[in-house]
Amino acid sequence: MPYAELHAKSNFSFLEGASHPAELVERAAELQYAALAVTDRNSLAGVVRAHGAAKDRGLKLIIGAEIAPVDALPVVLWPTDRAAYGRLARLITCGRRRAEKGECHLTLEDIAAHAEGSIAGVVGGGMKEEGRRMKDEVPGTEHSVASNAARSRLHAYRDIFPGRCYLLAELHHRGDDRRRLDQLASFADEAKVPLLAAGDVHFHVPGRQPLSDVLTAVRHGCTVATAGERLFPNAQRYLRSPGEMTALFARYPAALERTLEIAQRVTFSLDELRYEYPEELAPLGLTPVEYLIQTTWDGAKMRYPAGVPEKVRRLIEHELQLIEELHYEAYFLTVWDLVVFARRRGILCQGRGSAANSAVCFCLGVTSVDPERMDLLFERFMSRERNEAPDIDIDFEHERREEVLQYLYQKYGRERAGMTAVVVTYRPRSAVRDVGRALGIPADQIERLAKRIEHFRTEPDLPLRCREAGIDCKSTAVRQLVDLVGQLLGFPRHLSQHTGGMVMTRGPLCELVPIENAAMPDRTVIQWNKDDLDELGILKVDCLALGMLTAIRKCFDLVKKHSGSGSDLTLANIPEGDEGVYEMIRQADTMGVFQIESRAQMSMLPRLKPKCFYDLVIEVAIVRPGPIQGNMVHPYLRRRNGEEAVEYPNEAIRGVLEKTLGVPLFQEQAMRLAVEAAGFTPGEADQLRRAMGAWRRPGVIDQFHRKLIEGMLARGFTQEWAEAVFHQIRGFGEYGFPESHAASFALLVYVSCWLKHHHMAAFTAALLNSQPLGFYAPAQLVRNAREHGVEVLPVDVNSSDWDCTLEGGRRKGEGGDMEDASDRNSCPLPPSIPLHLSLRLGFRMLLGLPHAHAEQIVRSRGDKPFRSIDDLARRTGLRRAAIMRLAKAGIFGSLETNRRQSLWDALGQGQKAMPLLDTAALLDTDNSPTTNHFLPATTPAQEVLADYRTMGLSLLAHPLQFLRSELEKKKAVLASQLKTWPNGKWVRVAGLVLVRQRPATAKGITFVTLEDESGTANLIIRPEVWKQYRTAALGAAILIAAGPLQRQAENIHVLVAKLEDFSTHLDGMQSQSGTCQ
Amino acid sequence: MIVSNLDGQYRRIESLREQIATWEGGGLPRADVGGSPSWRKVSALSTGCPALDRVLPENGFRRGTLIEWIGRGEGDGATTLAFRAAAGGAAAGGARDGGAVVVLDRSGEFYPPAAIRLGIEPARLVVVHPANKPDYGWALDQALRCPAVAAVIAWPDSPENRPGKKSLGWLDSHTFRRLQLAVERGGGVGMLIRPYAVRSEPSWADVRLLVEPLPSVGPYGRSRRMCVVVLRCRGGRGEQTVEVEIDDETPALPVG
Amino acid sequence: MKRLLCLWVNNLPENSIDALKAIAAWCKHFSPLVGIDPALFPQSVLLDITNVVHLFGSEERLLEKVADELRIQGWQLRLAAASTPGAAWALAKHGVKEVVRGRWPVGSTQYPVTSNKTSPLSPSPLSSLPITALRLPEPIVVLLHSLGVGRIDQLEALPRRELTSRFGPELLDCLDRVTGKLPEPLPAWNPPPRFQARWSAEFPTTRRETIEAALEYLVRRLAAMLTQADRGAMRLECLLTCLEGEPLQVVVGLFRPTAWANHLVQLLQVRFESLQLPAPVESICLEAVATVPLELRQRELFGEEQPRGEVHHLPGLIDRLSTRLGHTSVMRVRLIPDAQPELACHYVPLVERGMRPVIKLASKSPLGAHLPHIPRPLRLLHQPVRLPNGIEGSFSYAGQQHRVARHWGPERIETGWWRGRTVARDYYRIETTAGRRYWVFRRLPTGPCFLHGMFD
Repeated sequence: MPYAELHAKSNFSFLEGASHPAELVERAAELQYAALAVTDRNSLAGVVRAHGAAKDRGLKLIIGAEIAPVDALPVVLWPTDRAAYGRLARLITCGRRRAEKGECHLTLEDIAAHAEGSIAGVVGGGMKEEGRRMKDEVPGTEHSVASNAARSRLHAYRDIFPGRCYLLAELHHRGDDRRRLDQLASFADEAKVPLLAAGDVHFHVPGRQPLSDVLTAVRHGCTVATAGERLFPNAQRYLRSPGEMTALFARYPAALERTLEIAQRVTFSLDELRYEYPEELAPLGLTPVEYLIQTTWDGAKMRYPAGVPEKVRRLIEHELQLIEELHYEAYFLTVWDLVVFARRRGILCQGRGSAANSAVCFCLGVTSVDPERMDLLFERFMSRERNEAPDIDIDFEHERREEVLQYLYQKYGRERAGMTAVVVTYRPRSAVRDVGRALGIPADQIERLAKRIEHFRTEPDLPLRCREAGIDCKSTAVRQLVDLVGQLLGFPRHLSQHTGGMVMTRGPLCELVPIENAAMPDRTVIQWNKDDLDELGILKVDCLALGMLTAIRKCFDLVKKHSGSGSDLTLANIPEGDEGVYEMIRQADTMGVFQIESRAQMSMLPRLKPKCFYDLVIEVAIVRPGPIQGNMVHPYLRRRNGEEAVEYPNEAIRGVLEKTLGVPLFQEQAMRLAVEAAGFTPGEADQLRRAMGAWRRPGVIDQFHRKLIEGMLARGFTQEWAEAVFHQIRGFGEYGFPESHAASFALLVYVSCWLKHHHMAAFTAALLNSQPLGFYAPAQLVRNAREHGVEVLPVDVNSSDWDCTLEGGRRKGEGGDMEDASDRNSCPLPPSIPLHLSLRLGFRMLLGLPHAHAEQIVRSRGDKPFRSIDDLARRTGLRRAAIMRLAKAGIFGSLETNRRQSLWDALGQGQKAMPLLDTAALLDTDNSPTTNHFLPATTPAQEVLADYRTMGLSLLAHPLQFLRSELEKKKAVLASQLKTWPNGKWVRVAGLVLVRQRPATAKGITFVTLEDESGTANLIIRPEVWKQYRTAALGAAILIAAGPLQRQAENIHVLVAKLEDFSTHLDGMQSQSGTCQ
Repeated sequence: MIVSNLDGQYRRIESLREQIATWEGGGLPRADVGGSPSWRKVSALSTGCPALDRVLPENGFRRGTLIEWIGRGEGDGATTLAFRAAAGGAAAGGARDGGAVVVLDRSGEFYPPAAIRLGIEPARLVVVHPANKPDYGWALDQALRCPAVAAVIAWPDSPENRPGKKSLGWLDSHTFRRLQLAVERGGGVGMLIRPYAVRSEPSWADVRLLVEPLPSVGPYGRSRRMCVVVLRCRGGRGEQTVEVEIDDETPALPVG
Repeated sequence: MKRLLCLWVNNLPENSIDALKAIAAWCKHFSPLVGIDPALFPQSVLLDITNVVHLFGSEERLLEKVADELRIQGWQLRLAAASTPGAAWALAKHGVKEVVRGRWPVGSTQYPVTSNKTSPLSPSPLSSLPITALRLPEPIVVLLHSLGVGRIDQLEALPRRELTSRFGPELLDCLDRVTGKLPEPLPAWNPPPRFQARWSAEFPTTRRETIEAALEYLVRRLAAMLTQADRGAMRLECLLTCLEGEPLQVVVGLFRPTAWANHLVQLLQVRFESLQLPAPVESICLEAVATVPLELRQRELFGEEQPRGEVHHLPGLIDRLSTRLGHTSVMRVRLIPDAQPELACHYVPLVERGMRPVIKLASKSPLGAHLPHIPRPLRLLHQPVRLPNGIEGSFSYAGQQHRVARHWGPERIETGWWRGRTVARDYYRIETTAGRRYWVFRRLPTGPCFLHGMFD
């Protein structure tokens, strides 16, 4: 007899279901089920994945959810149509919004209010722990034979769902199945509710029982061995064959037949969800399309005051036509509305993505990349053939993005706006921790192992890690650990919020998808992630936070303030094509700028030698997993340097790859290659890209792989080339970096470089005021500024603000203007010539100083500098502890007192009764004691260390200076000497560890940057060396590295063979005066 | 044995008293020793089977007595009935508070979850594993004698006395009588589960029952049926037979 | 002038107050006044040696002797003597560079000893010690370090009258305690009392009456001591020294602490009845090795509400049974919520072997907890018996043929994978035509059948 399973949980019932939705679907299809319902507990988070898989397999999927109200039996709801689906989503939203993150609080009354159109299956028994609290009320459990309460609950459901209510009979070989079934039947009979067979499925095959047990243990925070009856006593909760179900329900065949009946009654499919954009964006009397057209042309006039160029005019017309045809006008208006809001608030923002780089978006002010001056191909911008959603991400200043989000919530209401979810999944480390704990493996062993695993992206080779961690991998528990961790990887763990994807709808969003609370207050998240939205064709706007935008805006402000000119710098009016800027870039003098400041990027710059804006686009995109995994970087560089001929297999390919010299570097190119070279349809190409991502659809990747390779071979490409393209597509799948994003980023690269080149002091101040940001710590940024001739002044109680500021130079109103400055600077200056403005470090540089204290100081200071610590204490009213913190930070330089002395003075504060009559103030005397000689004097080394402790940098000296004599004994050379060191010769160098980086693409190689008093040294540490010196490599503040020097173009690094932790010598410096002086 | 003089005297008086009591046909109230034993004031112990209660003179087992359950061997249900009765005694009986249920298990095959399912509270259950026959007798005597024990369940015949074997290790008459005196002193109920072969042996028990299993009836046969023959009952009418039926799929409801 | 000796123990097991106590108890050989206080003097034992130095000739000799003997016991020490406990500790902890290991050279004078003639401070070994030697609160130490003050002499250079306002009164107090300006007493410590009684035979004997009389005598003395200390015995150890062979040891654990002589006598008698004496007994030593204060009477066996008169019999019964049958033969039952039937129940001895008294027979767990939801047999075989012919229609067991009349089930148990022994069984309850009920299972997927229990 055919069968439809109507009660199955996937692993989106977190820590309950033990199979992926797709696995359930696959198995149900194999068993030739008539239909499968995925019914997660209080959730619809997994249904889209099931939907996609079911479409692939041609299985009828029923959408549903198990609702567990607090005051009644759990019930499974299957909405029969779109409206009922909306009510179910609303019901879940209602319960989720009311409760803590991850919880759901619903009552029978709530269910009744959203019951229309749904069929209900009351869960009759077999509920484990959750049902326990009302065990006596669950009909069918032994204790409840006479429970009237349970009957009345069943009756309540019957009345809520007249003619649509069923009692679920779920048998799991518990020993008394026959009796239970009879009991349930008599209950059903009495309540006039039909009996319905179901499986309460938790996993697709019995082999998942161990994993299910582990999840149960994790959920309860115990071990599997102590979980006891919280575990299922057998593996029956899998998808059983229709034959088995028939045998189980032999005496009640009608209960089985009803599953088919329900499967027929439920016609709703997720395909019916028609997504509708908000429409209130157009003013009264105008349709959205009319309004968009009007706004676009208005914008075009602003962008091109001298008249819109013909090329751009054609582009705009073409794009507007397309937008109208595909009904995306509301989407563009939504984005435009956001940008207008940000501009009004003075928040710097920029769009990126295929649609963002359209001429329309340029006119709307979404992007500043001028379509006229940049010859970009906008292939990915919406095509008729592919019904692909336009893609616009907007970056906002990271400190102010929240304002934008709150604006959206305010404008559309919580009902209509929500944040996209991110499904946080098990990674090797978290899986090892949870499984290990559940198996009762000793905590120290788990930790050792977890630490070993670091963050492996792929399979972590657990047996090997176990051996490394000294764990017996032959023991039963560890073998099970390895096996179960493998199964658990990729399981969803909980929903988190996407970094910025917002979905807005015309109707209530919560009738499209349930909304729940995020961990952050005032945030709500929908239950679907971006892949889910893609699958259903739902549009979202990504509002992302970008630190560099904050820094750029702050730099614009500083420049404006100190240049005295009234004109604002904007992203769009930075002079283009500044040769000085490109020269700086080619020299890799890019510390602090956007994107191209990482070591990998810096080492690429001298090789790529960017000359124009498009070179920056390539630079941004090339140091990415896609091109690197596809081995595209070196061919491109060779062709660019003319070392290799540029060839195209055919004209079609030339069309795709001409801009990048025949080497695919962008995601768009890879996708188009699949079309042009392997004969994919555009839709297939896009599916391929997504299949490469984090989706777990077993077999899909292999399928595509075969198809791609075969297609390319058939078209005469070599196997090698085909494999390379495949690898690249795979890389793009996970770290997609399209040209359209690169172009927007490149603009920020250029702008930040321009600012660095022309306004070093302001740029550095802005970076420091936007921390944390970028790759480098304040110490390096300050050092870099000083190397460029900027005078950097210490934090001082009488001069500093909270932010870093600029001093000297011309102040506002003193005349002079921007043009002057930029004219002078546009011809490259040797970096040694000091600029006008000095950089004064702000109080924010001090670690742990509360903002309020700094405000207090600045406010009390006014125009009258503090004359002593007593004076400061009196005027600011700061507590002793706060003043001590200031003293330790050594910011009383202008009072001519040192750290120890000021600390001693600070200690004396607040102990004297604060006089009613402040005599000191009256007499205006300074009662600070004369210099005390009883405190031991500090050494310069101690001063420097104290600076590092309180600020992470020192303007006095570099700590390594004080170790130099010892380092010389160890034959360590200065970093600056490396420039002249012969290639391949063994060298020893020491320094503070600035950066440890292990790019995913570098095959386990770690890049470390050391800094000494003369400069920085780059280290390359191979995995085996890393392993050997792991403790030092990971933990040391100061390292001595030894190995042969390697020189490649302008790049110099030490290929490390030996490492030594030199950090302990810091302590020596520290205590020099302590006991020995 | 080191016993003080006083103890020795006391002991002698006690044993004399016991002998007299025995001659008089068992169990005269001994209100003179340490006040009236509280168990005397309480009504008889229900067997847990109304049908069986009805044929017993006090509608149940008298406290301070031994009950013999003679079964047909494995799977017969005699022990089940004994535990059901003991559960009632421990939970609601005796000295208002209930008391311990001591199980003297020599084979080690006693499976407590089953007894607990029959209503014995785990907190009141004490399981004793005497290693040999003398220890078994001694422990049984000690347990019966203890006023804090509501019921003792024991298999006093050596395991080698299972059907078909020689009657070597049976409970001998002398020991039997001593046990009877002990239980009278303690005030609980001693459930002695005994093989079929001893049914014609003399008995010091208050009640001797023979349990015969019966096939279950009904469509699914959930109820378990047994035929219980009251072979001997002090103060009762002669041999009587009742049929009892228990629903063993429903665990005993928690009592108190 | 007072003289104090401090032993700083380098290899003290972590958190081991017991080890310190042991050392302190041993140090009683040297001085009647011994002190430990892990809070005030971490890792250390202090001795007041003011009046005992002359017994050893000199302070150095005394220190050497202490160091030597403790070293043999495996302790690594630093020792110092001074006129205040604080100074002695400071010197022991910080004044010696090397931990004393190996054999100390006889006659060595490397122990730092402050002169007892001059003032305890400057010029003294103390002034060059780090300020941590003053046992200052951690925040003050940190603060002083940030002022560059690391040594005691640097601290002393600070203006004394400004210290209290800046660091609070503790700083000067700590300093003054070490120098002796403020008194600091030796934290007194005395070993806990032992409950022990001994008896020696005039003529070694095997006569039971004599031995039993002796035992009773010992018990009564012990009981008197316990009563006086208001403590109850949890465990008795009785050591019989015989003319030949190893001494015999008899250990009695109790279910409930008691100081009641009659009960203790009874329990010992039960054990002595079966005791074989290999040779005449010379002496007997009886000790209550584990005791608890009697005012901390644990809860009654079955909850508080029961009348005590009836219930106090049960502990007695349990003690008697445990003593004669062995404590692993008298047990309570703990149900384990494990699906595998033979693992669903644990026995726990009512009288524990260890020191801890069993507070409760069992918490009053609700009857429903972990209760099997369908019947279980009263008899469960240790080893399931294989039924060679299966259970279709009939089965044979112990030479008898049983015809299956009905069966109920299956109850499927698939569990235990984490133990490395996965069980997969389908259990059936079987009724034979004779009305007998058996519990059998089939090993899955289609394995042999086993008889596992009887519904007796």
